[in-house]
Amino acid sequence: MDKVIPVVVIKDLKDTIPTLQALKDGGINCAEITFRTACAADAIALGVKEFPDMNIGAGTVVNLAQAKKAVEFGAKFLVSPGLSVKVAKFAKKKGIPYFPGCVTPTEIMTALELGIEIVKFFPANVYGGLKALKALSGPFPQLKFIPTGGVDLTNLEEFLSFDKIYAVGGSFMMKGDIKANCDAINEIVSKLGK
Amino acid sequence: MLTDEIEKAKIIAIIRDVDKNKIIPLANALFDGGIRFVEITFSKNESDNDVLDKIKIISDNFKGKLHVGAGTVLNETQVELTKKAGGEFIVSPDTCKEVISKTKDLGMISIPGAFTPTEIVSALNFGADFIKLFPAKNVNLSYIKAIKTPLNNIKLFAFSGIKLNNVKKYAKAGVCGFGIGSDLIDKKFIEKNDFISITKKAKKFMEKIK
Repeated sequence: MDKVIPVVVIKDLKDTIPTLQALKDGGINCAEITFRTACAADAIALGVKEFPDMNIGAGTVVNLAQAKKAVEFGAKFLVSPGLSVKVAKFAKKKGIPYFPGCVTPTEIMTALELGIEIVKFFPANVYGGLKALKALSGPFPQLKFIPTGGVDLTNLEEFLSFDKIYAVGGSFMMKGDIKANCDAINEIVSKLGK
Repeated sequence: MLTDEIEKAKIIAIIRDVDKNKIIPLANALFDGGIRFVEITFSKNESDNDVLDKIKIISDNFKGKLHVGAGTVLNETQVELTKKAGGEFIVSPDTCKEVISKTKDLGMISIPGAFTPTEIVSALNFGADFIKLFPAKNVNLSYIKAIKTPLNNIKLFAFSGIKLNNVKKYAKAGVCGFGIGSDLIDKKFIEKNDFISITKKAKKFMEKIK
């Protein structure tokens, strides 16, 4: 998985290819297409077909029905803002990575019990950012995080420097010039030797 | 639909530990001030039967005027008894699957408390109609915007700490309604039987959220 997971909102199916192409051109080989829009599942299917080597998953998966649909349409991983036990069990059965949003120790322990060792941390800035992640890593040393929400080019280096960060998520690279944003991200990632 | 009405009304007035014989003048005062939904809260300071009596008093005397429900509902028995007393909605501090399911089985509106994305999504999957964002007091307003980015369809009611001077800020941040207790139903006014002041306060709140 890339160190940065772009959260991609596709409002119109015809935007799928140019959007993914821009990320690919920028050297980012993955995308989380969110289930916030009506065409999300079709966008995933199209993306997987056109960019078979790209790691394309589904985001904002809030229930089992969406999880099933996402997988049926070719999603290679699933992300939720929170933890759904039903989605977690389904993903495990299908052998698909699932990154649920977990912010409290109780939620993290539930994830660990389900065999999940990488969780999304959302909204990261509001739940205490890197400081909170460091504190949570104390009791849960096996856990890795994907902080999302409030991570951007100004603090990306700081987040990625912490070894418990599996990757960071967000849509900050989708605003403005995607290519320039990707270049900035790649510079930071390569500087850290990741 | 009652869910539409509650969204339109925007305010649930929270009545906690108010003496039974003051319920009718209080409910009248709230109604005169524009309030349409009132929550009678289960409390450690009185028996469940006393709370249920108050729900029944409002349900019997304010038909077509006020909708009454129960707050701090922690178990299925309280849900059933609230329905029997004439309650139309159930508010809880937590996300309890059994309470939410029972509420929906009995055809009432479910407003469970939830705070983290996991709790909010669980509550919705259990059948909640609205999410009580609790405790909303001192919550960073950017939190509301952040969780509403992926969860753009959720309907949040902010509970705790909602006052005349901050209600607008919460509305702007993206909540669709409020549970308002002590700043509206001030204990001082109740003690002095000063119900006119409560009507005035209610009107001020209605003005703010217009």
